[in-house]
Amino acid sequence: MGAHAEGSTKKIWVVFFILLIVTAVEVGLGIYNSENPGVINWTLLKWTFIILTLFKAYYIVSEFMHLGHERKGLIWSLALPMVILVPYLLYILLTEASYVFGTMHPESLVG
Amino acid sequence: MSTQATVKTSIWGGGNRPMEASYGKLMMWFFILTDALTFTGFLAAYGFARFKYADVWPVAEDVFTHFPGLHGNHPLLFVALMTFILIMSSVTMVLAVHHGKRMEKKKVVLWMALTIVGGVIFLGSQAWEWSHFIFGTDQGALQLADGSIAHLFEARQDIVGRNLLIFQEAGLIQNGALTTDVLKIGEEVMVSDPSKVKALMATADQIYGANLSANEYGHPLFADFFFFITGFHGFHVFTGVLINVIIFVNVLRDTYEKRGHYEMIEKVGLYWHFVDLVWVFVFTFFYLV
Repeated sequence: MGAHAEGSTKKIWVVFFILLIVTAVEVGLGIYNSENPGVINWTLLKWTFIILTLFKAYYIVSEFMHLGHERKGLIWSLALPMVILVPYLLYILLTEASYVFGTMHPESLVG
Repeated sequence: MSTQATVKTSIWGGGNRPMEASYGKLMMWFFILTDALTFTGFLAAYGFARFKYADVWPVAEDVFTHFPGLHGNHPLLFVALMTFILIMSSVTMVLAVHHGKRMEKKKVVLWMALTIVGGVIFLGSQAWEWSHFIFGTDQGALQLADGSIAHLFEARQDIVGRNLLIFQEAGLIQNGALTTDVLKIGEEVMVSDPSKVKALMATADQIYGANLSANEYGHPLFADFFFFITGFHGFHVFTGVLINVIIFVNVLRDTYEKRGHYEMIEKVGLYWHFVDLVWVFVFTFFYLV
């Protein structure tokens, strides 16, 4: 702990600027898209936002919450439930919701 | 073969702490895991509603466009400021933890105080955001008999003196009463038959802003999820500030000096960063995508 704590305020500010810049990029893209709708492919933009969000989440958990410096057993016992359950739940709910939308709007299924 | 010795050195034998973290820190981590799954459930339910009502779901950038002291449309600007405040207060919290590890009480006091200030500013910003959403726009919207929302774009008479109502929503055309006598102009729908206008206005309600049963910006479920998810997150921020204040008072009273370590700052720090972490996802899924 001692060796790691040395000079780690620098690391804290590095992470802060990473989070700040990524957020600024997200907001900039969002404002640009609302002012010039359709210029950027929406699916591409949506996934860009989601990936940037996961990127920010990684830095918050790993550095601010210090999980990246904990024992591997602790990391996996926290990460695995999320990695397994969250995509599973999202897949089921979003697939079902699209199906419900399709039955409510049969015209959207044609073609 | 001495089994006794192997038990002592094996990390699973009870002679060691396999996670090398204190009981309190482990329990905070597993509480955060369950809380993260709770928020996942809420956001996934939001996703379900959004995909189900994909055609009438409001665009957040059209809903949250205000910034204190500025006129006109400023989508995302205020929520970006809120995000910045929360990230900033996360940084001050890490710095408090950092100086706690070195037993530097004065610096812990400073950074904890700033963390509390950041949390309070965030809560105030959220109250401002909520009040704008609740009171809505000056012109409001019409809620039609079938529950759909119509934003009046313009009300005027045409050259032969008929009343015209021009709406922003092309989706209005699906409303049974309006299948005839509507002229679609781009994204706008024009109702030109005077009797249809009268019938429409007689059954429609003028609504302003959003509450749990009506939402001038679109589907009421959007408002329900907004209030519920940002409210649940705001409640976490509120309890986080409360816990931070308690720990701050303890620091002032030398509780952790006497204990010989500042690990309590780390534990409340975990909770505070988690609140920031949740906001990162709320920000993305409510405001960006």
